[in-house]
Amino acid sequence: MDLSGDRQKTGYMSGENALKQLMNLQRMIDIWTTKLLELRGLGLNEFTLKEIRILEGKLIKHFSEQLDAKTKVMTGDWLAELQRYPSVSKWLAVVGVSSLLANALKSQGRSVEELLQLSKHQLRAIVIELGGDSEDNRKLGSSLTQLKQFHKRRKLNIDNLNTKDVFWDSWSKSGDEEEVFKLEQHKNDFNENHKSFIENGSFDHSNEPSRNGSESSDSIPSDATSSSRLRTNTDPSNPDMDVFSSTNHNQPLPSTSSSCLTPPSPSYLSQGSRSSLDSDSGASGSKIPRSSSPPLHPSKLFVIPPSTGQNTLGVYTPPVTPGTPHKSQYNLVQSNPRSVAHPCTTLSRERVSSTGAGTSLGRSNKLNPNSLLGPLNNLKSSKSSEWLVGSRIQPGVGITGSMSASNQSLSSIATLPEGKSKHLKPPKKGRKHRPGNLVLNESELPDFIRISRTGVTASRRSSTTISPESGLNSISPLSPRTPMTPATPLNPDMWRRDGDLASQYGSLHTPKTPKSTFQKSVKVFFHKLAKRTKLKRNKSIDQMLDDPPQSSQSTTLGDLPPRRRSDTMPGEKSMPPMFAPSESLFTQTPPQREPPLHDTCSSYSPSLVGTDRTLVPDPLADDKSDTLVRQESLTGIESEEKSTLTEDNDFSENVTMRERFFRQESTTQSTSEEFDIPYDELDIREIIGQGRVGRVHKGYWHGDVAIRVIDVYHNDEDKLRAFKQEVMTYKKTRHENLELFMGSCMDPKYLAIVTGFCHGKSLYNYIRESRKQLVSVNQAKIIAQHIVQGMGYLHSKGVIHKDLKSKNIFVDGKRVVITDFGLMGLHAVSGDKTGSCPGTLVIPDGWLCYLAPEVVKALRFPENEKDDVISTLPYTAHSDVYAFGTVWYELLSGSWPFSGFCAESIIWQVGSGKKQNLSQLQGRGEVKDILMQSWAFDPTRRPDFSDGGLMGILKKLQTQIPRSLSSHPRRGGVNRGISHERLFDPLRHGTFSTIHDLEE
Amino acid sequence: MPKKKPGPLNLPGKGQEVVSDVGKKMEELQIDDTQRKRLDDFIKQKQKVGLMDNAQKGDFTKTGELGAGNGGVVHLVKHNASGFEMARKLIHLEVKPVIQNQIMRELKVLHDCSSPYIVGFYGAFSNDGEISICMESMDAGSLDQVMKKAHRIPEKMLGIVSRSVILGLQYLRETHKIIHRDVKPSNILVNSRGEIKLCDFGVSGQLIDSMANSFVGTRSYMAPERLQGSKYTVLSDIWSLGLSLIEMAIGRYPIPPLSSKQMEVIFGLTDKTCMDQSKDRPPSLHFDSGPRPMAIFELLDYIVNEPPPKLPAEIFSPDFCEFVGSCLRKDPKDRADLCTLMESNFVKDIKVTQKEFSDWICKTMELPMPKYD
Repeated sequence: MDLSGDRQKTGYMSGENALKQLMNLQRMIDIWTTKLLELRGLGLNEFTLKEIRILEGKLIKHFSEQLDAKTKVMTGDWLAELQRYPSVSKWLAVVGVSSLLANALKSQGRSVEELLQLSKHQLRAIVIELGGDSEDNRKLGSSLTQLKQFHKRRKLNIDNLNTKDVFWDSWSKSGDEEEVFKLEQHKNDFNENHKSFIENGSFDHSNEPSRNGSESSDSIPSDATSSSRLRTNTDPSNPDMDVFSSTNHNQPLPSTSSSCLTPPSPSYLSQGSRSSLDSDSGASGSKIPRSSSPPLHPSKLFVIPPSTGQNTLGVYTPPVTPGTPHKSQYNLVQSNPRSVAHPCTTLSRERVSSTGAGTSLGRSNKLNPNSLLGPLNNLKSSKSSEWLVGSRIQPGVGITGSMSASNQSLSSIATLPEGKSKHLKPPKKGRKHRPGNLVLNESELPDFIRISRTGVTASRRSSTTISPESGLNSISPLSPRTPMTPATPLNPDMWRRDGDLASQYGSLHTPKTPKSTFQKSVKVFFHKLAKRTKLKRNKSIDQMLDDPPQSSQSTTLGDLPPRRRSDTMPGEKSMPPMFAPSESLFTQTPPQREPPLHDTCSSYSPSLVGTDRTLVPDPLADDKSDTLVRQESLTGIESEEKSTLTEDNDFSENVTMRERFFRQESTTQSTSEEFDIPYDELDIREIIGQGRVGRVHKGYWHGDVAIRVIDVYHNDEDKLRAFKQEVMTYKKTRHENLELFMGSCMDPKYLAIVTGFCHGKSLYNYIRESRKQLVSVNQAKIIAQHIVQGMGYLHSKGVIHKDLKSKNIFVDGKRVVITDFGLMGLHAVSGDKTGSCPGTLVIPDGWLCYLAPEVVKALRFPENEKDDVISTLPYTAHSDVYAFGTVWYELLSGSWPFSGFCAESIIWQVGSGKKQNLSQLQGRGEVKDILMQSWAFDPTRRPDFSDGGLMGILKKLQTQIPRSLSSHPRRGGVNRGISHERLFDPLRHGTFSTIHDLEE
Repeated sequence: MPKKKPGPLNLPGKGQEVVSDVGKKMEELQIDDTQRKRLDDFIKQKQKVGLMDNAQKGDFTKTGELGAGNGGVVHLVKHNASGFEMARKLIHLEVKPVIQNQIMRELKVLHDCSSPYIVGFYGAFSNDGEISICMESMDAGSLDQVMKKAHRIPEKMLGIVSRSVILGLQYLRETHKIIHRDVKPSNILVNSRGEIKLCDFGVSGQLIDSMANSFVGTRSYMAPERLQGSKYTVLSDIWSLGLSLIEMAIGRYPIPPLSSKQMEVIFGLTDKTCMDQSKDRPPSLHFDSGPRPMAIFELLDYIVNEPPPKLPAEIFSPDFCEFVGSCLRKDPKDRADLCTLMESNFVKDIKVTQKEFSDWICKTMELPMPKYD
């Protein structure tokens, strides 16, 4: 698109005006971006997906406006700063491409305009060159297209634009719309892949493929016995069906014991091992087609979506030309279980293995369509199932058992019983060639390749390589996905997603997935990783896989955000892997963290979501069988990851792990369903509090609970949405210093949030009950550390409390619990309009003194009945820190700062940077330093809650009671958590409220 | 524990101590015979009604709503037993009984507030965690409401208003050592008789402390020194009076101040077409109380740091301008006190009688002329 052509005759702006406008827009973009990333991190479900799309539309609009503003600047007026807008990095973040690609693009200094001018092919080429995956390509391509189109429309009809239909689905896509042009694109993608693959040989799909590969490896039956058992069960019953399909919900993959036993050999990765591979492949029963396909570099393995490899390749011997190195490798992997089975000890190996799977897929693409007959079925089924899953439709299509093949791990495939292969009948020519699945007759294979090549050339100008055009065409009708979506075998994400789904599903039905040797190797690898990093599974795996192959393990580890560790706090264990994405939220602040997370969320979450609903456990349904299988494989992966932690080869262990895993996953994944509590089940009792957003009742629901009943005045969709969003916020927090979220009641009539009941008293009362006696500095320190710990966790989850105050903190002698976080956001929903009217802002007692200056300054009068000022306040993590400062002040002084001043006066004083006079405050300078820092006028100068911030300062606070606490060394360890013993030492002696500063 | 700032909250409580000879004070405060008679009548009414300490909400019948103010709703009610009309303010409080009793005690001071310039008080009671304060009902409402109807209040009417307010403040201060603390058009009530009375002054410090919410409105009448957190004196009330007078005179809250040109626009048109056309003024003139509210801090900071608003000299008499100007000195030390204001030309030279004011009010508020007995 030629943007310069956009310049309009009228409406020129001065450079400065334009800049101003750009900056304004940028602010909006920043806000929406944050929101978008947040949403992506929330775990995908119907609700968030919708939200994301809305946001995408908004962002497109703003970016378009930025472009517009720029074009209005006269040449003479040009300012250098204008060049900064629209921000590429923001754009890329918004689009949701992998960090690898984003960084590469950024380092190339590409501007958004430049990107817009790229043709799809060019874009693809660039994406590929820079190591992006097909998902990246889809997102980037689609988003740019949308931006272009929107921009065009904007020029034509400025008034009548809405962004409703403008989005690109920045999560990894499950196609529910299929459009022709997208298909076209799809094709191109395919071609591109091939081309680059072939031409460069160096095309690096390391990100996805590797990940996929790992998954696939995981998916391999972990236990020979189990697999065999399964096989026996299934095979006999469904002789006609493909082995995999026949296995319905149970174990899909027949893996030979040998494969299981032998660890995957790294050798298959290397070219040198080719020969062996070839021979192996032959042994496997599938014939390796010798085609004239260009020699493939081992690295190409990555190109091929591992999932594909999983699918059919393993099962049906891959048609690899022995001549080409990559093929040979491929063969090796698949055909020879043993070679595969060699344990991978290094990361690179890991990757390789995973890639190996992928390779097979890629290979398949090149295979002759004829040879693909068997695989075809598989593909079809798998795709349809995917699609179904994606669209949450129960697959009505009879899917043949072959589908399961897709899930199969390579090793299992390799060991596939020969008899099975016959089940797979090659699809008739011209029907559907799915490059991704591949079982191929030797003879046919070459044809396929050839065909694809020609097709490619025809369709694309620059492509010299093979593109299985025919195959693609045939595919497209099958897959309802949009072209951009990774429906094609080439797209690793798709496969992966399938795998995810399958794994979940599978985990449900088949807790015991046999582990393959391949898996083992993976496991070993991860185990090591896990030991070092203690990462959650998603992260560790994704991260590792995302890393370019050459990167060493250590690098990977180094790259991991340090936060992670802190994230893993008590109770965190139970956090489902799903939450990995949520962290991306956080990550967005520190850019370096973003990449892996991004990827993770995009690729993982959608599938999960889809799974939630789609996968109704109906093991008997034929169409689902494939899903099951896939799930199986995935489950394997996940469990694998889990198991890495425990390093168990024990089958039963594994099973339990898996079960546990699944359970967790399900809990966390389901967005709201799992946490839905029917209103009838709630026993709502007396009111124990009245807040801005409704009443808090004591209640009973499987024990004492606190029930926040939100009065819904404005019963409109937006408000309800806000509620749900808040609930999701609540859900992802598990920390001993945070109120436990138990569930919510989503009945619009009775919006309620159910949390654990906080015994004890509020810190507010605790502080004030002993009028004469102040809380000692030591007690204050202990309590503060707990608050800081909880808040640090909360912030690490990307949750801003917004209403931290002593009334929202409970102390029961054993614990300090922070409540009501995030609920301020519900203010818009709630009917708290008591006494408020347009032009008057209601200010609850004590509220102002917790508000940071920047928030106070944003206070305004509601313009009308529906104008909810509270929900528009610019709360940040920094403003939470300010609020903590006030709590700290309360702890030390026994009262609120600025008490005795009227609201207006507090607003002016705080807004002007005035602080409560501290001269009367107990404690030493450091004690007051905490206040001064937390209350810093400049938000960015406030410390955070980390060890490098408030926690660190608090730890360093000199304990002032040498006698009672002398036995405890000062806490100075940087990373040491607060030990409970220490914290509550005074409490335990019953001194929590009575010990006072002995020194004083 | 930090010393609590000697905020305004501590002051009103002291009013309790000073319950002194009302009659004597009345003399001092220039009460004429009519006024005295009115006060006597009210006291007789009160006697008929009796002590309200144990009254119930059920003793009243709501006949209308007068408005919602700071922390409470005001209803027009009929006292069933006596048949008298009253204005009952309901304040919802969630406080312990001890506190509630304290509040009730502090409210008793109101029984002693008998002045032609202070709204009469029938009594107060509490049930169900709500405190009811029953007051004399003022049929023309507040000057805020009057202003809305009249768009602007003529200068000559504002003279009599000023004097009444000053006398009311003086009464509160001299007699009860109370500072009003919330002088603003909506707290100055008028009736068809042309009486002008203050209400809603800070009698009970405890009541103020116990209010769960504060309400910050688009119009702040708070003196700069109070915003800044320094001592609050009757001089702060005078600032509020000055600001209220400007608002009533020009029909708009005067912060940020209108430019003289804007004033001309308003007043050039007002006599014929009044405010309707003023809405056509360019949007850049954001003096309108309309849709673009200033952020609260912005507004308050304006009060503290910008020059005080003033009346346009071209339109108002020098006496009025000077009077208002002397109220609106940012440094309380420079501000005129109550006595000075009473001596000012603007107050001394009032030509309008209460009857004339009454006529104007009745006309403006479309009230029937009161029958005098």
